[in-house]
Amino acid sequence: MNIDRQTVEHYAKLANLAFSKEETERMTHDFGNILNYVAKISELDLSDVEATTHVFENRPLVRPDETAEGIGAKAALANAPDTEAGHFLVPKMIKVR
Amino acid sequence: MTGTTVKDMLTALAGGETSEALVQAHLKQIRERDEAVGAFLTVDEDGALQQARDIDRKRAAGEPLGSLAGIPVAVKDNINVTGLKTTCGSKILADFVSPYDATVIQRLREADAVIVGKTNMDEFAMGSSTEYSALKKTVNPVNPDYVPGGSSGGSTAAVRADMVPLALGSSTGGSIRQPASFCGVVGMKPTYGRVSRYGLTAYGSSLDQIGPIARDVDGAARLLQAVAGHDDRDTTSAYDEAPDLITDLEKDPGPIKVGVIDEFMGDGLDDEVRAAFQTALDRLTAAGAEVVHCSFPHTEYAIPAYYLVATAEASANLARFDGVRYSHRSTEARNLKEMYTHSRSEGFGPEVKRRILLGTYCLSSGYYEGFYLNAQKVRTKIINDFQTAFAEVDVLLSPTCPTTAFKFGEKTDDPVSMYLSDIYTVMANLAGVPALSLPVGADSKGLPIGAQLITPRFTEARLFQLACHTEKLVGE
Repeated sequence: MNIDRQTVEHYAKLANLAFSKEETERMTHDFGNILNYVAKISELDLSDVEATTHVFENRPLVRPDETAEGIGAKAALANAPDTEAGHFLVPKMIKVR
Repeated sequence: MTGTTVKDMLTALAGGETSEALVQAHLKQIRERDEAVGAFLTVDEDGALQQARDIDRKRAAGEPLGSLAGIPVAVKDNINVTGLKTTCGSKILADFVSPYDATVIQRLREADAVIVGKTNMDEFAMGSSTEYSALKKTVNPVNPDYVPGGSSGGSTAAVRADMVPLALGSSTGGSIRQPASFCGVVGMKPTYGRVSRYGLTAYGSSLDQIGPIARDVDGAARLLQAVAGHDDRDTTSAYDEAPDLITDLEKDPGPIKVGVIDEFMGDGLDDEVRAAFQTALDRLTAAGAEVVHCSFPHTEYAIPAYYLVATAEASANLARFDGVRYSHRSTEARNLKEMYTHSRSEGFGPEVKRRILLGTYCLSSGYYEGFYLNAQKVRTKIINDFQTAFAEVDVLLSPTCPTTAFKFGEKTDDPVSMYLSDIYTVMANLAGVPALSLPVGADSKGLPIGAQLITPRFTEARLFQLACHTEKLVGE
């Protein structure tokens, strides 16, 4: 499988990652090797096989509809890089014309 | 007071020794050894001593005590402990202080264990040598030129260097058994669903399990006993009653059929590891076990399937680290999208980026069926291979790893060679079955060799009993 820089850049963008030029070079090389390795599973005929999404069937989990104490706003905000008036603060996301 | 088993420590505590003295002795060992070993990212001296004194007070007052009363425990740094950092070995979480306890931590507190600190790991548990920690280098206490294994390398090194008798690790593909094997301690991955994942930072959610690390099988059984069992806060937590692992632990296991996986015994297995494994197997045979050869025809597809499943799940799980609610935030960004991208790119290390990229790729339109879905089908094949084997045998026995510990830098240039370090451990995670690694010898360089026992789902009591039996025979 041939992986080029454009492919790496495309998937990096989807994953909210950005690479320097050197990183992209290295990642293109490694990513190609890894994909060639994992593509080994295509040797198998899997047409009649069910996919495993859960290794065992659990009973549906239900609980009484009761309120419980949470950690509270103060603790929830304690690790945030930026806050204001009890909210998480982020850079402006709406463009004003 | 350090360097003995948990059983002996419990006896000493029941006989009048204080937990404060026991914890002090271990903190002293950490101060003396950890500068060289680098197992801990956080040591909570004051908190540990406070917990120890509280337990001593309870004991003096005749109050009921938990099963691990006064015993020091270390915790891998991807498990949340209130008031302590949970860094996951990553720059992106370098300053994150947890506001809550994971379920396993709540249960350790109910068992009156003493939490002494948090241990180093490969970033977000992605690695097999702890070299991918962005925060610290951990060496193998047996020989500092060699890696401790990973990703729970800090936990296994801490136990090996007598800095704690017990530690929690987590396993997605072999991250408890492989470093346990490299460091010469016992490490165990429970059945998927046996231990609550609530408060464990998710990597590959359908594979992750928290498990115990100890100097001996008994210690590991006691630690698992304390943390296992259903939890309403984890929807994948099994309803099965957690088994009693201690009562019948040392009982004669009766007739045993041991399965040897033929595919594990071929090329790539180091001669000295093979010899030590064979000796352990011979001891079991001499004690009456019957050996059956088992075939796992999908062995060579296990690591590829594992990397597809784990990275796909990781790419979703790690999306939450975007610099909004917690984690590093870049100061270079001019808008929200740039803030996400810069924060993640500055905060994650290269292996984490590689895996997020692979996961994103194999979940994307056009590749999903060929990669992710087919990997889940390979998983079904491997589960069937286990079912076929367990129809014949009680337990599967194999080397834990193809080699002993490798040197620093030996595998970091070639991601695939690092992945292959997990070749014998990864199938138990894919199938959700319990597995345990215990020391069975050392190579000519003195590096530990481990053997792995695997049993069917939810048969931990039998697994520990057979491991205890094997431990005794190997020690003779």
